[in-house]
Amino acid sequence: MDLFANVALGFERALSFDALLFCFVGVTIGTFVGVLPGVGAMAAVALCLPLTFYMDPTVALIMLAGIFYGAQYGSSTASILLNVPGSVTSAVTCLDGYPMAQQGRAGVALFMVTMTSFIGGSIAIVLMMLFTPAIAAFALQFSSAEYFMIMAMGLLAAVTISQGSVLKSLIMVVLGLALGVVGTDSGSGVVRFTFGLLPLADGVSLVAIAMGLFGVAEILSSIGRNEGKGMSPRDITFRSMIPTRKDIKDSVMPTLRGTGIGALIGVLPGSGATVATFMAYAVEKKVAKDPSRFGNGAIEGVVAPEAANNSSVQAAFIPTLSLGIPGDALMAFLLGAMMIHGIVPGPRFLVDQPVMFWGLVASFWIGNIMLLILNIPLIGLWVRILAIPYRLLYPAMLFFICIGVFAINFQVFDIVAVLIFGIIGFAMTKFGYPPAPILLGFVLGPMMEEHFARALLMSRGSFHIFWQRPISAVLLAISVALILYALKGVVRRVKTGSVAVEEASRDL
Amino acid sequence: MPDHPQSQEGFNKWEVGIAAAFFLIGAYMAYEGTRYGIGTITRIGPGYFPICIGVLLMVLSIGVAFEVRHSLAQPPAVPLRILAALSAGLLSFALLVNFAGLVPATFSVIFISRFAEPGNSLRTSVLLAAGLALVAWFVFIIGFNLPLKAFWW
Repeated sequence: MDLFANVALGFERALSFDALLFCFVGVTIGTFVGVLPGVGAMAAVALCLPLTFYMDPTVALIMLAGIFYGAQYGSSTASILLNVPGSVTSAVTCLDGYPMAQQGRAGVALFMVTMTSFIGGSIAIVLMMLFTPAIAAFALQFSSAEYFMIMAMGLLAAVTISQGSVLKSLIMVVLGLALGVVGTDSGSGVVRFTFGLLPLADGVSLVAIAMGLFGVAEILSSIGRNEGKGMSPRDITFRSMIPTRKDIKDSVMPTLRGTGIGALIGVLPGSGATVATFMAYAVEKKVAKDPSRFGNGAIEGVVAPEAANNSSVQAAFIPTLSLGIPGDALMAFLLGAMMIHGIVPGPRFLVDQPVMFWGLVASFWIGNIMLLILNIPLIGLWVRILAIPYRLLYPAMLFFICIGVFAINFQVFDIVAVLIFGIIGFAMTKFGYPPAPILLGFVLGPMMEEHFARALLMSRGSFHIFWQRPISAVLLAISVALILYALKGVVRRVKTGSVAVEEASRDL
Repeated sequence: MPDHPQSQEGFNKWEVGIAAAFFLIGAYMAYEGTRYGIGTITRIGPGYFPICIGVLLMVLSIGVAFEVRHSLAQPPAVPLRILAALSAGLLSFALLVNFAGLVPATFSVIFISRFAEPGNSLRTSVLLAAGLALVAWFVFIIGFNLPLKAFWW
């Protein structure tokens, strides 16, 4: 069968020495940043991006992707042991994970979380292998009109699904589009909005935006915040990790439900792993015979969200790789990284680069198995990392941000830009403007402009093309439905004026 | 908020001000866009998309201004010390990396940014900065071969 031949091809690439090595490096860095609260996967990927310039693009992608899903494994450790999520996607895990640790069952919780993460991730990889080629084949008939519409729909979905003010999210998307315009226009060669600054002729640096909004802004708001009681990590013995038969029995169905929810949410454009974890938790609470156990160390409340965030992260690769449409800000960044490597994402990616695609998929399996080994026998090592105080960590992070941003173009200007974006990002979140949509808009903007221009060229200037082509019409209808869905809330808020102080989350 | 009793009845100047800033950015984009050329509808010019974005920004910012007019959000207490230390650290890296090389620049960004928190010990700062500068040298210049010089000579 074709699928098996492709998978074999992928494993051949993924099992080569350089791929294995950098897959290992990627998932190790991912686990490391996942474990540390306040250091996100975005920062780690952005830092590693310039290092991958000197690698084969396939290996580069394998390593960068490894950081993404590796971070999902690590992030639950701090949730369980410290009641502080390692990243937002594990915030829900605190609710029952920390009570489990207080009851002396931290080992069991950590073990089960790793196992369900593995199962959730694996099932999502299978889905990815089955659906990505099918969706890509379907998408080969897309013209520019469909591309423009699907990107518009993705942006709208990201905005309407998010919490907080829809208008503020929307304005952030448009701001991202505006940033994407800066630089030399690919169509006409006209240099736009550079204010005479030469470094801006190539556009604003993606890494500078991401590192500023997510890295520097995070450091600005984290320093000085009380570090809480110093963590004295107890050693997690191997023996304490062995779950009882009841633990396993109680975890099977929640894991599968969590995986399903995660995969579904992950595929949808614009909704990230965080939403999936909250939904998985809510569902478990609803189907439980005795909901009062939740919040007091129910194992279902730990395994379901963790299965959900891992399957969601893997499933998010489906639209990213088949359509070239990122589901969330992290995927948008990965897409940007692919383009820097000269890979054109989209449905032709699978046809043109089969080795790269299937190698990447195969590396997901290998990476997940590596993570299993990294997280179960070596958990004591990661627990000890939690003892690193923030006052030593943040200067190091600042340096990594500097080198990460600088090594992209070797432009001093980009370091100034990262500082500016950091300050803007810090102030923005305090006023309820979420930073993630900026990144989505920035990556998609130039592509949207190109496809919009091409669609109009094709139709000889008639806007009918957007609703006369059937697929485009469906996408347009969904977009309109999304707007209508959000409109009621928007109108109400605009009329009365909202009073609540909403700090936007720096959530991806 | 005792020192801002007016925020309940009156306008929240900060929130409305931010919305106004977005409006101005939009207006500027639209104006500048007309100078780049709208083109024709069959072949849109480089100004077409910026004008759309600018108009969209203006419309949305009016909506936001209405939405937040009574908001109770206050400007964050700007952590001046943190801001100053991080800015100085980053800028020092920007200044030094080309002239003095990666190792001094690394030392500088770490050493200076450590001042963001009061009471950080100088000795630890020096050790941390020197240690990471060495790591930077080995990993990025020797290991990954980034085309950067380590020192000024």
